[in-house]
Amino acid sequence: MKQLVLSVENLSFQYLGQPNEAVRNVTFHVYKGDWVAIVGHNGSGKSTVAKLLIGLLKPKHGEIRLFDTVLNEATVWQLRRRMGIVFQNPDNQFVGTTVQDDVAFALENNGIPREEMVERVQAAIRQVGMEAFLLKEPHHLSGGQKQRVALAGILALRPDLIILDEATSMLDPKGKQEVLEALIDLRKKQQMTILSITHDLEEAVQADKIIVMNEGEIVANGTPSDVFSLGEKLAEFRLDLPFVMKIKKELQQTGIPLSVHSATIEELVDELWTLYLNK
Amino acid sequence: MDIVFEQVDYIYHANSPFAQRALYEVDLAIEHGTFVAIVGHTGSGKSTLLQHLNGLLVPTNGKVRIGEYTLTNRQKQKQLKPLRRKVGVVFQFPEHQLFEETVEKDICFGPLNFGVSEDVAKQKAKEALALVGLPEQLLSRSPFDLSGGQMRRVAIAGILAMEPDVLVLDEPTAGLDPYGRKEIMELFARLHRERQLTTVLVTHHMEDAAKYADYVVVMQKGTVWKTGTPEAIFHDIDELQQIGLNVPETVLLKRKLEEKIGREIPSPCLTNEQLIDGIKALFFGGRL
Ligand SMILES: Nc1ncnc2c1ncn2[C@@H]1O[C@H](COP(=O)(O)OP(=O)(O)OP(=O)(O)O)[C@@H](O)[C@H]1O
Ligand SMILES: Nc1ncnc2c1ncn2[C@@H]1O[C@H](COP(=O)(O)OP(=O)(O)O)[C@@H](O)[C@H]1O
Ligand SMILES: [Mg+2]
Ligand SMILES: [Mg+2]
Repeated sequence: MKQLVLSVENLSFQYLGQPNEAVRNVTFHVYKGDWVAIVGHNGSGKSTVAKLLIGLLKPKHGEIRLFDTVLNEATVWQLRRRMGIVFQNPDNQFVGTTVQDDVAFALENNGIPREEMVERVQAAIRQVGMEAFLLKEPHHLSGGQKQRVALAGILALRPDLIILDEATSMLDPKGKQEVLEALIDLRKKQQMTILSITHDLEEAVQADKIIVMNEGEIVANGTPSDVFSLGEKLAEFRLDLPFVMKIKKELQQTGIPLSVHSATIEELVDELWTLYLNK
Repeated sequence: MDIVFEQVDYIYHANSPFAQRALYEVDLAIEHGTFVAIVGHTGSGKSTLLQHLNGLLVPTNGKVRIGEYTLTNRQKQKQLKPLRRKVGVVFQFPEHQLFEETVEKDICFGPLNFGVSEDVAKQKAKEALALVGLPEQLLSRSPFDLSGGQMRRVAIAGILAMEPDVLVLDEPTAGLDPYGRKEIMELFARLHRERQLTTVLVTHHMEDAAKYADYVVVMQKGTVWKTGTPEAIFHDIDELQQIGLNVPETVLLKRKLEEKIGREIPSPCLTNEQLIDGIKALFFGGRL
């Protein structure tokens, strides 16, 4: 059995003065080393869940357990040391006056020895391609550069649980893939667990599990192939199919007998080639 | 309003130890009524370039002409009010453009500032909110208590309510759910068509650039690297990948399939529809 990192039971939350609960009866479990994507329409409650998980908001009902400890006022500080979060807008998160200090901040706070800290900070900044900006002020960067710096903070910190709230939304395609690969690599080496809120279906389809939120509730939770075979329901949840699945479906409708297996462009091309040769 | 950049340099915090060159020798012409997509690696100067379009930034060197206005480093800020009315800019981070207590006040701000009556402004706010697909109940909410995607839509509504001639969009779909992204892009395409709005879109979604733009401008390290039709720009995959970009996935699939089967698909495959038609023709014959 895999070790449980996060368990959320019957979680509900209502913002002050709002008529409805932003999060309603949410239950899910995340296991060690897993990469879980949370998707869902704008305002479906994803960021609210993230804020509840790090104890920024207090649940109305329900319980959150992290690393087998119940999250409450007494445990929140100790638990936060094992988590790293990157928010939607990195501007609200910068604390250092230079890129380098900002990336180092959480490490310093966690008492990492100086030598190791310097090394991890430099490595992380290199991984996100920001080594030319070490001494720049984070607020004076472009949008994508800000996101890169915020992500470097997490790569350097190497927490047990990483929570990303649309943290790569402003990266160019190559930058996005580089960051994802750095995370996947860390996950393998350190058994890190990743919870990633995203609208990018090409990213979600690479996750182990996808949780779909709709109007504050979880409406689907399963592997990418489970979730993307929801058919008509996807549109209702304001989702879509990732590129390869979408093209495959449309080709099947034209009478090209593709199987269900190919998941990448390369696999689809191979399959089309075989069918083409035998046609 | 034609837009022309002539040898534009921009340096942030010029003449200080923090000086940072963001643009150099930018030459660019955007004809009235066209839809232009600007793509480029993070930090390549896209947002800096956009902020010149309504005079939020003025060139450190060189000049920008927008219709009858000419922006140089000697520009007086207050002369720019009429320009700001005509050029609506949706910023990269919507939080940077929202500031009123309620969504309604926020959307009304532009129209009121340019002299329409309160009733008319409120009417425009309602219409704009509907255009971006938000319910009317949101009008009384604080824009800061919204989800990221809702804030994005309110910021867009605020600009649409001004009814500008030029619409400038800095990654306007970042943070929108997949359906929302499609809806909002279709909205921009419709406004462009119906109102002949000159539209300048910065995006990291190459599919959107390919599908909606008449021209694509590729920025690289602070200057214009290349401009051309989507078909021309997305022709050279290696070259684009070298500067940290990519071609739309449709083009990638087309190219890989062509290499594999050794036959050309005579369509640029810039959209899903074109790709499907191209593959169909391969399998079943017929015209492409
Ligand atoms: N306020 C600022 N002060 C100093 N330098 C800045 C400022 N804003 C941007 N820069 C720098 O100017 C250059 C261009 O930034 P710009 O925001 O135009 O990039 P961009 O192409 O929009 O990038 P992204 O895709 O990440 O949004 C970058 O090197 C950036 O670090
Ligand atoms: N600070 C807040 N005050 C009141 N309502 C809020 C606040 N933040 C978010 N909401 C509302 O809660 C709901 C869920 O928001 P959020 O969790 O941010 O959604 P998501 O991240 O899925 O887009 C939305 O209806 C949003 O308007
Ligand atoms: Mg959110
Ligand atoms: Mg930008």
